Amino acid sequence: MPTHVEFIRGMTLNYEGRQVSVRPGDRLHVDNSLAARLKRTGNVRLVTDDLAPSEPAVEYRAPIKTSWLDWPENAAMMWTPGTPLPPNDQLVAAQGIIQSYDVVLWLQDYEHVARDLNIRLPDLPTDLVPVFYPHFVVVQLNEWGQELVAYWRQQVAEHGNLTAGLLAAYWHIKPIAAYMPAWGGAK
Amino acid sequence: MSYGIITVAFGQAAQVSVQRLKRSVGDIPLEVIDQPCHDLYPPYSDEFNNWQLHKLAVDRLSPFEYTLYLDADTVVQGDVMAGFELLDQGWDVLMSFSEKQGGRAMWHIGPEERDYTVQLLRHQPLQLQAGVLFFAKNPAVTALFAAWRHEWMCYGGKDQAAFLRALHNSGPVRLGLLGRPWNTSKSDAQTQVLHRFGAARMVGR
Repeated sequence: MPTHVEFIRGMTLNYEGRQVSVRPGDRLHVDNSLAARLKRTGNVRLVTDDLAPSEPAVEYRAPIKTSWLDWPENAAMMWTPGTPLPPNDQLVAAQGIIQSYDVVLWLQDYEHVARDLNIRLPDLPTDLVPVFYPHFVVVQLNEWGQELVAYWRQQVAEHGNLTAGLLAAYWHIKPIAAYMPAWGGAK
Repeated sequence: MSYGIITVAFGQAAQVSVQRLKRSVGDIPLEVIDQPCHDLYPPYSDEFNNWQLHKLAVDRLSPFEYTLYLDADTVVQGDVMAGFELLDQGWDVLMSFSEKQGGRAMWHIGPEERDYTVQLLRHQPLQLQAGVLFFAKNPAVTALFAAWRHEWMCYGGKDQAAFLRALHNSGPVRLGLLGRPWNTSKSDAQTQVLHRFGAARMVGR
């Protein structure tokens, strides 16, 4: 499992093969050895509350990071700042897809199911369901999309787990969903 | 609700595989399509007696309200009733995804069809696997299957890329995504449906 860190100082670092500039307050998932090195040098603090109810995914309706990314007015992104974004081609595709789907979801990975992560879904007849990446979700601002977000937030407030809350909302609301492949940053 | 499993098994190898499947499904009703249905695609019945076109028409062939389509080379190892319960809760279709994803997705699809599919979808899609497919009978699912048949006829061969294009082109479908244990070539404690890819290789030939 990678470690979630919050940067105390701005710096440039090699992150997943890219030079990334971070500002104080930015958060990233980094491998454990890098986290330890950054901690020793006083550049970061370890984030231990990333599943806390007080920190749900943050909703952005304005373009994020890349100014060319022109999201439609009727769509919203749920993004946890500091966490990796999907590849650009998938972001661009999601812009079009969300016009006809309630939600666009990315797979966290291909192998793990809810049972592996001890995610309990009491209303679901199986826990052998894939896990979605909870830090970047695109929803259409229609009835289903808004219900999904509301239910997700309610679950996070009650149980404090972003990943389990998203799964519970997905299976409860039953959105018309588009599924995107996992990518390295989602793991 | 009426529920059951349907499979298509033309040819001797498929018949052998389907015997294994039959033993694995327990009390769940199993419908085996083992002969071409000549009135399925009139007036071209002689040209369209391909097993795959029968697979793509199981929405019309299934006598059940809630159906689990299984490739003939699958074996049920777990309790598949959860899939029928999910259909009863309002999902239209439930399925899992392929082992091969990313750069290896659609590896078995011809380059022309693969390129066309990616071009149409405008991104590298999640490769779904239609060898284990729960579906309800309703207008949305009927439209999806009709689009699937239409897309398959463009290239023939494997049906996965045609399914992705059908999803893209047909009306909205509530497709619930199941984990890999529902359609996997690995047999372990979590496996619900074991897919012995190629065991019914001679199907329809």
